[in-house]
Amino acid sequence: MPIAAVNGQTIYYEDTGGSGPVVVFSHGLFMDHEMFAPQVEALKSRYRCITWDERGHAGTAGETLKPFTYYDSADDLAALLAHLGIKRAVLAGMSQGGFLSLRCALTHPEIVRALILIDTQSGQEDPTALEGHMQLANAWAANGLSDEMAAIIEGIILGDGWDGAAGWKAKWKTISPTNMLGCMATLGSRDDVTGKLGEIEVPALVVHGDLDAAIHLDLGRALAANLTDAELVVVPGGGHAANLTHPMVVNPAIARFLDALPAE
Amino acid sequence: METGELRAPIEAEIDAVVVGAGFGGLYMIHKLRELGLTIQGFDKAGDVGGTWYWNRYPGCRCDIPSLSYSYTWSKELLDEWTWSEKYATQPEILRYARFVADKYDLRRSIAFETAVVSAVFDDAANLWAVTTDRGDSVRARYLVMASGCLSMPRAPDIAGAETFEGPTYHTGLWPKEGVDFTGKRVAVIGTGSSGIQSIPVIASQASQVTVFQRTPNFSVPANNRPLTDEERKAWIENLPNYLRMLRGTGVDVTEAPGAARRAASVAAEQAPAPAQPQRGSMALALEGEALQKRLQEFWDASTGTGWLGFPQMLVNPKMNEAASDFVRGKIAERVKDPDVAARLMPHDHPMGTKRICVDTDYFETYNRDNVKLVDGRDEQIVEITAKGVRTTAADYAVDAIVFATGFDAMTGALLAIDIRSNDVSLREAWEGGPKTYLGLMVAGLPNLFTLTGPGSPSVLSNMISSNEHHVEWVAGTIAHMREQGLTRIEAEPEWQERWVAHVNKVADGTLFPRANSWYIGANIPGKPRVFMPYVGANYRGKVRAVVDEGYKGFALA
Repeated sequence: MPIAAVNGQTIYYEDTGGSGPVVVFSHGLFMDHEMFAPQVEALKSRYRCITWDERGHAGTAGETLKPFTYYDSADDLAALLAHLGIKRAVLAGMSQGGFLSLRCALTHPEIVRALILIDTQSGQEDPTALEGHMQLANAWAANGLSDEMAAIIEGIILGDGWDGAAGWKAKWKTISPTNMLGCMATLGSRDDVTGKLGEIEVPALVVHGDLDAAIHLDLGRALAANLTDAELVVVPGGGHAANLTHPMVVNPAIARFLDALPAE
Repeated sequence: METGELRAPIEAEIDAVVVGAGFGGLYMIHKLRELGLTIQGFDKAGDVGGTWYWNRYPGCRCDIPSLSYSYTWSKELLDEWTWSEKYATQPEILRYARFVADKYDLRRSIAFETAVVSAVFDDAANLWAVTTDRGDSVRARYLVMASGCLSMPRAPDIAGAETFEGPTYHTGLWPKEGVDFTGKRVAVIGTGSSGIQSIPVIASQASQVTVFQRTPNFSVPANNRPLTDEERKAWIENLPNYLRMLRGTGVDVTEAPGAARRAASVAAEQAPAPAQPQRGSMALALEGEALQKRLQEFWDASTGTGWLGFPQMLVNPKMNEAASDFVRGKIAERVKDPDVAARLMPHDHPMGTKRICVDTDYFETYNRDNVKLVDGRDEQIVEITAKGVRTTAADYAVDAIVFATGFDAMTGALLAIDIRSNDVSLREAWEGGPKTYLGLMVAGLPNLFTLTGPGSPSVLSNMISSNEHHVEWVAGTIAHMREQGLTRIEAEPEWQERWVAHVNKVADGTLFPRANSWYIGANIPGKPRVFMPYVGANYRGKVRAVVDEGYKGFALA
């Protein structure tokens, strides 16, 4: 089980190896590296696929969690790639993974070959929802993750009726309050990078489910429009984890995008 | 305390005056004492507690869970105080305030049963001259207004109110000894939070209750219950992380959050047409069964004000309509008479744009034989007579009248005092609506701080949390000034203007302005219609950034 001790973290990661161009996948809040299984399966024969668990999550999570920002997570990612001897990679990220990937492109541009941004945005959390989120988080921290709350989170992240949901709900119940609250603090207090998107010059693929209830499609459209060189692919019926629930639409789009990138 | 005794007027020159001894004022006094300041506090009430001293109407509770609605600044307090229920009652919250005042010996700094009448800034001396209705005259370097957002009860100006032969009550000025409505016919005017909480309790005692509703409001069940030891323990253990979530991690924000929405609206026009068929902007994020399932999950999770976290609740009219429809449907399930049920369903505002009430058996109360609803859409109150309430349709004979008609919110308590400097009178400056910088200071009024003032999240947040935030900011600012030998701080007018424009802009990006709520001053005839709380993102981060950049937007001398 590979662990990279980098940037003060012990990061769990997986690496398909090989000599193909590198794509590194960064997951969303409360998810982990396994959410990209459909993409890794489809791409591993031609691309070297790296997946990892971010701070406060799964194999990287510890018993404590110091306050951090997505710039710290971006540094973690850069350090992981350096550790693996990877000079440049395509950064793919879903939601929170997209937040850190965008910031990595801003603070470590030299290692970013292109971006694949899935169900994510460049702005901040909706403040009117904050009190509601905190109440849910409090209840989770105090009482454990109830079935009702797990269903709410399932609905937000995975959409309705996806047959793979049970496994993820079981994982969420194992998240400690320390990590859950700490990660929510980072999510809720992140900065707005919309004004800086023009600084990112590499090609970007923006993928967004048209039923994404967590980050509305309009925000994905805005992201694509504000990046210098981006194309938008909308996933009909896709929710917030469109790559996981609708790989039959997302995988061809990703493959096409990767194949069209200028050679290294 | 509540003695009504005369006392000698206070004449003093001190470091700080704190107006209000509720949860903002109590903590402010404690923090300023830690800095070694001399302090004089004032409160109109006979004791501490503020809102929770005054609102003793039956059924009164906070709509924020008790574990959250607590101070976090004292480990001892957390260890020594035990909340009994998920949602605390007014008596328990008042006991808590008293407990805090006892523990930290705060009352010795507070003159009770005293209303501040005027505060005039002496420009040459950098001192506030504060006078009260007890003849006090105090000069202080700093003036902290902890006078509260829901502290000016108001009853509508109904003709003939003084002719009524029986007693009238306002829920915000409830008699300390309580009221026994046994055998009485009671008119309750108002169906906001106070009405929704008090009506079920009054109905269980009175012989007859007639409820006069102008417009119905959304309410979700409290599903209140006792707390468990595990919950209390878990809360304390997780507190550091909860505070991190609350406070964020201090990331600087130079772009207003409105930038994201501005960018979204500009970009949506410029986005290239994608290959797949597109839905319109602000379409339903969920549909059909998925939507109903999510709504039911939210209902079951029973988070009360947590409904504000329903996807796009306050920005997407279609999602809001779905949630509003769902909750209206639940009202129908709880009220047997379909005609009455229909009259209790709100249709005039998106759910959440007026404060969502949290109730225990409110709607079921209308199934009782002794409760009648008078629907403001069909008949309006014309006057109060010696015997009761007269509407456009009928006369209602009652023995007592209860005004559950709320407050002149957020600005009322501040404007009740004549606050002025050479340049600025608060009343004149706020004629068109309140203006502050960060909700903390008003340009032209140096050394005056408003806790949870308009232009800050205030009433849309957990008020104890927001009070803690502002108290700590004020204490930190005063400490900074004393260290640097500074004696004067004021908000710069152009930064205030920018902030006010920003507050309005982010509000306009939401559904909030669509409601005739007290958030917008619509409950008071003649009050300017301005959305007062701040709904932008990362408020604490912004305030922190201002400080980190050397109190940007403030002039210090």
